[in-house]
Amino acid sequence: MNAPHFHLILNHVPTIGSAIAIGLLLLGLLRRQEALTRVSLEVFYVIALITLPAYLSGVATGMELEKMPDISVEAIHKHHDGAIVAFGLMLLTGLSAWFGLWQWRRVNRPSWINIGIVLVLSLLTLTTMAGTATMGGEIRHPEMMPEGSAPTAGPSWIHAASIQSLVTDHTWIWPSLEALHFIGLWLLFGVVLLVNLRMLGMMKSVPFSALHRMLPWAVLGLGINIVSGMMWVIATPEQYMANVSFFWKMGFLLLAGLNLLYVTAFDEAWQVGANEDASFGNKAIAFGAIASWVFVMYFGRMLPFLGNAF
Amino acid sequence: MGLATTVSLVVICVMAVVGTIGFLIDRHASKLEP
Repeated sequence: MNAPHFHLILNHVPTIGSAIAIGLLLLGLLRRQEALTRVSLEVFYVIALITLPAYLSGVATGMELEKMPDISVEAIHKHHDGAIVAFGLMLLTGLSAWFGLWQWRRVNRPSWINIGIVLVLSLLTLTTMAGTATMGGEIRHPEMMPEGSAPTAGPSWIHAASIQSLVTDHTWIWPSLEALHFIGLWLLFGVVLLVNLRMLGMMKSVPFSALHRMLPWAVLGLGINIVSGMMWVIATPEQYMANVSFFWKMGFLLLAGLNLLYVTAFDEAWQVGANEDASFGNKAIAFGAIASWVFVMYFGRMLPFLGNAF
Repeated sequence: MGLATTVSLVVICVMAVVGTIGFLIDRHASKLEP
């Protein structure tokens, strides 16, 4: 399976997934079923995670398509510009949903302000994502446009080319991103390691809920790393798209991202009190999470050695 | 301004923003304690 095939499989997930999650959220609110509302927040988070490979496989597909005859490079660039905006909004929605779940877990009730923010952001995301998907379709399927109509307009305020020149033309941007990526990494890994070591049986006198309070620091670190990482990918996609190390790094990042949802929202982890042992299943999940984050770091470091970066 | 100074200032500014957000969230978390 190559990148275009992967993109064809994944490219509908952000649009259709967001619509399903919005439907679940509205249904939960209408039926006053808190469990359904909570599931919708979890779905938003998972869809935001899946949007990452959908976006990255799209960048790789664009690079392949540009080599082919009779393909509008302008249409590909316009689709990419739209995808950056849609992906950014999807990340914000996923982040807000995660924050809602974290808060819900701590007080055992929903925050209606948070749910309102998630609803507004998700509607914006769905609209932008649908427009981006249409632009993507128009690259290879002009027959989908009504006769005589103009192609869908892309965003006028953000361009991948502008981000590319910002990163590559200013000598201070790349090293600043490097420094921030490392700070984000220790912020994220430090908290994740503590939380998962507790599950494995260390620091037994500390209840899991005490470490759960620190999780927003990990998510802030993850946010720094996603933004800095995205800027590198947009600036020099050729270093990452055919890089086997980057492929594995992203794979383990998705697994680690799912673990973050587990330790944030699921009952099994939350119920581990002071001087209590986590179940064998929880320990296995914690071990897998630490291993996943170590592999994310390992394959990140190996980008120039196993792959073709730098 | 040299490269090292610029990079240091950028990193300090970004971390000040991130640190403030983290601090505010943690203060919010202390209000949520049962």
